[in-house]
Amino acid sequence: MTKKADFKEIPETKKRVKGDFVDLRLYVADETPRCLTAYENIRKICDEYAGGKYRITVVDLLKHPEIARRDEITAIPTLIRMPRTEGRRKIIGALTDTKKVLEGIDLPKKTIYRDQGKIRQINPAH
Amino acid sequence: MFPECFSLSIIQKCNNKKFLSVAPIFKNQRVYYLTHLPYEYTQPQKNDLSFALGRCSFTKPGVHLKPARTGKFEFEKVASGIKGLDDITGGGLPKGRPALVSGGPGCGKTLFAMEFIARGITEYGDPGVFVAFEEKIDDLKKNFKSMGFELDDLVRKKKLILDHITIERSEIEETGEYDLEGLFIRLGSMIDEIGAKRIAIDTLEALFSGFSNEAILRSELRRLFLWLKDRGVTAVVTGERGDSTITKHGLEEYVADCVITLDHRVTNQIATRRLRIVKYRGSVHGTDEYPFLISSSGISVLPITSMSLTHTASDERISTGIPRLDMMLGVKGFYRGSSVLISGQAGTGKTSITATFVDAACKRNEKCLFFIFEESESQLIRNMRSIGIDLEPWTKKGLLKFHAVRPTAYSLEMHLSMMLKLIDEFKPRVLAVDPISNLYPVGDDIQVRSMLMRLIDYAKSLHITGLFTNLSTDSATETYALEPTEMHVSSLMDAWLILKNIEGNGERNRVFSIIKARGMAHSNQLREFVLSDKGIQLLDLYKGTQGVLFGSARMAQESREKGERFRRNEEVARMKREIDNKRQVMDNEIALLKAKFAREEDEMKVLIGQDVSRENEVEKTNEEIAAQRKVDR
Repeated sequence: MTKKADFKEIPETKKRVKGDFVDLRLYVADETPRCLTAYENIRKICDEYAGGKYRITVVDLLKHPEIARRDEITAIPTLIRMPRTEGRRKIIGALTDTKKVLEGIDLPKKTIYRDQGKIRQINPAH
Repeated sequence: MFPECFSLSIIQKCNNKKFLSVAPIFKNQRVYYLTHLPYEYTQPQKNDLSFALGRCSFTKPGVHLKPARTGKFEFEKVASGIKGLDDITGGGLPKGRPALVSGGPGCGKTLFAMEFIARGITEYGDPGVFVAFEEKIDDLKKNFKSMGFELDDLVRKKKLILDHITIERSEIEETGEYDLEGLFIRLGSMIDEIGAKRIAIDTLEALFSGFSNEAILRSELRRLFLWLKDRGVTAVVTGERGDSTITKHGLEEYVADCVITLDHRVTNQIATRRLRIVKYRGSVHGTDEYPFLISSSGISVLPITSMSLTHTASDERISTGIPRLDMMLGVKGFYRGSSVLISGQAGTGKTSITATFVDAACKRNEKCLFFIFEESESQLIRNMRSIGIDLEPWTKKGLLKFHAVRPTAYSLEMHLSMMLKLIDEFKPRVLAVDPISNLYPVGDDIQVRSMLMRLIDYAKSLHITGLFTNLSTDSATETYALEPTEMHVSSLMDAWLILKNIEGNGERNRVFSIIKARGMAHSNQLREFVLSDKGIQLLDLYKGTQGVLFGSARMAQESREKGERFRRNEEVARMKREIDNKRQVMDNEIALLKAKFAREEDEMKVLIGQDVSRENEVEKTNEEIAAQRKVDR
């Protein structure tokens, strides 16, 4: 998997990143098929709905069990959007339900794409 | 028997597939394992499954039967530290296995779990983890501080980890399949951090309120218990009581080894807590409901103590404080460690006799514990002063301890527990309970008798002499009718004194008799006694022509007899004098006769003498004449 960060390198996002930058953290435990699926799913979702402005940090709890206690993770896989604010939920599961994932990480259900440097939005047909 | 070692390897390989279900069936007195394999695995796979399943062969899909070894199945146990529980379970909870504690709200489940962990640390040195799903850590610390558990201290010493796991459904969005590996990782890291041997989870049912996918939850719970067993930690899991099931969500399915239920019910307006071991695999256990208390030092399950009647009997005798009573009891008094029942109607002097006994024991420097169910301590001391017994100096010296409480204030179990606790702490040699009849309104016959039996048993095992007074509520008749309850209680006692007030002559007199005293030749007299300011004094018996008399009749008879005796003495003296006189007279007469006889004798003697001399003279004259005539006669 790419974009796998070491524990010491996870930056603490203290302030809101400008614009629609999506900072996500995916907690997994070992490379089980479910976790891999979840990663793939979130990648796809971010590609489509966050237009490239995203960062997914994958934390393997088996390697860093203290993080499980610190961040209070019970279910695997869990996806959280950083920074953690009130009303931001933990999204658990293989992330197969796109609608729920988008609701959970606060992304509007609109496909964004870049067209010659400008950002255009297309309202989805459904 | 559930071959958990088999299924563990299956689960690891099966991932999301259906698990192997194994059920034992009994056929021809042997245990068989019924196995049903999911279709995918009906082809024998040599590498892992056939090895794991061992005795089950699966050349064709469906059902296979193979006999299993029937052997002894004994669990190793780990002491829970909860007072009384280890006695009931024969050692404690099963080691390395989960135990389920279920009960309604407020039954004491959290306390049970926390005591298990805390005592494991303080008494057995087993580090422990307490995982709370519902209570906050600070609340836990505060609540348990009042019980004497300093949780902060234990956490600092790295013997205890307190963790709170929040499962909030509003915080969770479920999208697809998941598992609870995060929980396992957290538990694992906590256990590894301090090397915990014990873990308590309170309460797992919180998972059901957080996650909505029950199928996933159930399979994860099953996995959790196997994982805990794998880790070798002894776990206590609490669950909330369901309407018809032991727990609301059926946790008992997964916890097969030990299930305990706690109950809190109200009978006769008195609340009692009970504990019951529903299941304890591989161990002999009591299946009854055991009452327990939650006191300031935690849970204490009321012990059954040595109901096996194996306590040793002492040969030592102790005085009752009334020397003449000691005489009636085979000369020396009661046996040490015996139980004595003093029963009687109101005002017959039961408490006084008890106080005298206690006073005598204190004089011998023996500690006494006095339970009063009727009066206050100061009232009893004041009342006893009127008969010359001052108990206050003994209380000041610490030899005598009173415990006065209204019996209706608590349940019987609470009373028993308090009494046993006080006995433990104070370590008396003499125990007095005054009166036991006041316990009857609190419970029924069986309960009171059972409570007394346990108390007496406990006292005997510690060689404590027990005195129990009982108020008989009979009508004021002279005949003593035994009440059924008294008869039952009396069989627990080694000695039984009945006090009576005998009516007659317009007054009541105190009388007692020894109905029984095991192991000694006791008097069978109905003995009168008085309470004076010098204490209890037994009076001599006075038998008149009508039988034994008491009170003023006795005194009258006494004086009458005294008069009689005086008169007889006089009579005898007079007769003696008469005889003397007669003798005197006789002597005089004899003297006279003797004198007369002596005179006559003298006269005779003189006459005889004269006669003899005359004869001699005549003879001499004849001889002289013959001589002169010179002839013979």
